[in-house]
Amino acid sequence: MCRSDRKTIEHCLNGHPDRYRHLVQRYQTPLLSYLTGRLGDLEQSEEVAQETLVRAYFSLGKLKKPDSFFPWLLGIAGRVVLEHLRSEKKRMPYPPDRQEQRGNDQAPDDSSLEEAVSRLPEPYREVVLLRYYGGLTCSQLAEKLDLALGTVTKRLSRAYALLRQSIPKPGKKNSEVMS
Amino acid sequence: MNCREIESCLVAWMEGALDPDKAEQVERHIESCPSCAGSAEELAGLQESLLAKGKELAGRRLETDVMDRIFREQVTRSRQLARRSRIARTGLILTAAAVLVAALIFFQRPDEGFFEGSTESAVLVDPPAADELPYLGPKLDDWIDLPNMSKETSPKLNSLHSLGYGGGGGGGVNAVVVNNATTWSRISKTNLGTQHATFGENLKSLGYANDPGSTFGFSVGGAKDIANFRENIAKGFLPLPSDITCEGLFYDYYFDMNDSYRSRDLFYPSYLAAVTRDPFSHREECYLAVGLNSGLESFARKKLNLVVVLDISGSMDSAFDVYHYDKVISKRLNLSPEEMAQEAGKKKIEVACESLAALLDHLKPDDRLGLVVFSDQAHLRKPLRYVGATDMVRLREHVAGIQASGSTNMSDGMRVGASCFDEFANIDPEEYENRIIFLTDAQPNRGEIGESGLLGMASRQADRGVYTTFIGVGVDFNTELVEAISLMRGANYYSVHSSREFRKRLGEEFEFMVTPLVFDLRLNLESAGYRIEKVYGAPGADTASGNLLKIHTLFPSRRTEERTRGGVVLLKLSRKELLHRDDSIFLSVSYEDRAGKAHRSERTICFAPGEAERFDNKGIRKAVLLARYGELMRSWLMHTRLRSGITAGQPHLPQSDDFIVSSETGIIVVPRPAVQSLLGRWERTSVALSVDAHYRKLFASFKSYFAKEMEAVDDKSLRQEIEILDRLGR
Repeated sequence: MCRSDRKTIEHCLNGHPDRYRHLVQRYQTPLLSYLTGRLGDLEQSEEVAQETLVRAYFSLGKLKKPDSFFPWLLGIAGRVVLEHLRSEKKRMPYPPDRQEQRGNDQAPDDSSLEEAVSRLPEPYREVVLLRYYGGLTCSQLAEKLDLALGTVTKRLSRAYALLRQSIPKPGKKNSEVMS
Repeated sequence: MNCREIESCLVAWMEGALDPDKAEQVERHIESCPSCAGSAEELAGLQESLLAKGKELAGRRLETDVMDRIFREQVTRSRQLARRSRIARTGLILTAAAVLVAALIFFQRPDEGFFEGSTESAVLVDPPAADELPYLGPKLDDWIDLPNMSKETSPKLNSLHSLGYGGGGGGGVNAVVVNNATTWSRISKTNLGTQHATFGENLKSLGYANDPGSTFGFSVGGAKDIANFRENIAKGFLPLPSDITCEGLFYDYYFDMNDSYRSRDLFYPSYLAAVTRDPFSHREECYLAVGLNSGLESFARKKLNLVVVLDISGSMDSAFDVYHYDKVISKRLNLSPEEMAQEAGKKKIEVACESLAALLDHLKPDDRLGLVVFSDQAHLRKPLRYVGATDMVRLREHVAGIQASGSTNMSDGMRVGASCFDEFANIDPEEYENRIIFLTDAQPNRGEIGESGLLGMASRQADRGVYTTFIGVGVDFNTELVEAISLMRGANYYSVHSSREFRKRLGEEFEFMVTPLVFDLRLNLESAGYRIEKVYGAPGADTASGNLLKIHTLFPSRRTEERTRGGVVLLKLSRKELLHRDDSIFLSVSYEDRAGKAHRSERTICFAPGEAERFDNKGIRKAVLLARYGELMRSWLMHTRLRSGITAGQPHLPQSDDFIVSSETGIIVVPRPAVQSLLGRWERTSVALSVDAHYRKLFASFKSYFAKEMEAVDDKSLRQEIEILDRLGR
């Protein structure tokens, strides 16, 4: 995955900006997953994701390790999220009754799951994303990553364990377990 | 196996990655160990929520928007760069812009630019490999192919530089991507507007393009599909004769309407003739197809002053009854059962709000947007202000949280919506489009046509240049109202049966939907030998005089491969009995453009007499085929409806026997007024689909004629009509 990221970025920097499309396609879902985790709202997350991807494009030249494009992208996303939340605060509430409407639309444990996924260490995040957001089976995954099937299931096991630590258990109230 | 071992291979087991022996051990253990069973259950729950999330997120597509933004941002940055370097004064200079691409070359020639008052830049880009197309931003559809581009012409690139093509206002840019090695060349047409015509012409003079042709044609306002007809048949109900309008049927297909005539006008008609025999009576018939073409190579929609008027009355709170249509809609939209269930659970207000949100996606920062909601009375929720200055994120949230209650006061909604335009009434129509989008789930009744009703008010607004798009949520307006809408200047009508369908439709058509370009089109036919007997594809056409066709509004329409979607009006002509046959026809056309400027053109054509069937091209042949099909369907529906006895014995009403097609009568022309007069009686009752023996036979024989013609016009999409004929002929 990383090797082709590096290649794609080189292409982008060498006069083929359209290649950036591939990076967007590759990372839009994990990025959205991270952002909905942070913001709790899909529409807002889409806006922030767009802004993040555009900024990332214009900063590609500054990316020192093309192999870690996604963590770098998440770093940018984190900054955009902060800016977004800050500007949200400043603005007058529009329209007046909007405060009431918030909160009902998004179940909070949904978003904490996404956030937890996006915070997994790299090898675990990769298998979870490919398995669930990429729709691959374990054996397809093993083939794609050139790993033994056992390694894939072990990584998934570890990923689940980490996820379970960081998200509320079913049946418990969200507020009780949020760390 | 102990619990610790089980724990370590639980995931592998759930993923089906264990060998059968081991899997069995795990199963046995889990059955007897509540703790491990609990772990397994918890894992399954986690997997399920991950899968659900993944599915939801994977459905979102950002790449088009992101690439589009990058493209625009690049243009802005490169302009700033060019301005800063102040190289324009020296005339022709090429600048490599490192931000964009190594080989971006910017070009400026302000002293003799084609487009006064703006700085032009041509963007010539290094040839990408063929597998990397399209090169920048816009989708493939947004590119025009230029034929005749070849290695030999590439030396002329230098002269292309010196022509100084370039981006005008609104962030538009002409990106010419030239591949010297192969034979293609593409021009981005996004945001080019009228400059593009000059651009294309200049390219042509250089031999780059033979005739790239226009990227759009026109279609007549009014019904844009015959979905109701198709749905009723699929559900086993008898449609109304008015459900199958010719303009709706035509808009389901693309027509090649090219004759040898070319013009650079906003609108010009093409004329194609056919002499053909009725499939039942074998009598000779003459048809003249009027192609609705544009000489402009592309159009940019105007900046919008858009007020959305949203019905939030109590009825909008009811569930969207998509099950009612489920088979049909899921087939039409390719929805999976889960997606169907999702749509079905929605309230109409949700569908309306989602549709509204989808609409917001199409607005640009320099459009203005206002929002009015109405139930018992109307409230202005957001005055008409720039989109760029609106917090769209919050607006979306607001829209998503709208609650429905109260009764329906449509005319008040229209009144408040219209009042938003008071300060913008005198705006330049060349630059702006003033439009109200009226979303409701109520079927307006006939009273709304009156002076103080919804349609009456909309009509008065049209007189001052504020046009209306009506969107029926979950309902189809009755035919009479659709007709009233199509007779209204600048108005159009869409129905929404799911937000997904509407989103798709907006994606395809938004630019067209909000840009009426031609008004008050009149086609006058003067001929000693012919008169207009019937008009297919234009509502409210006046055939009484036998020589005049009136169309209130033309909207631009998609054009691909030289064929325009719904781009035809078909005239059936009758030959007058004359002592000396005269086959010449003098045609004059007049219309107004957006600015109210009148245009006029004239042509004389000649019907070449002959014994054999003769079609000028496949386009008119397809139009004739569809017109006959529609007419046959209407005859059958009239016949069947009338036979049910509602009008039997009432001499002033048509009788069912009047609509029996035979080898004597040929295909019968069903007059619109006859349909209209009966609609009120039929509209409320559903009638089971039935075809009598006579019509079954007719359909079977018409099907073989249709199949033969379908092959001749080479359009496989006509197969859907064969399927209907098949069903009815069985």
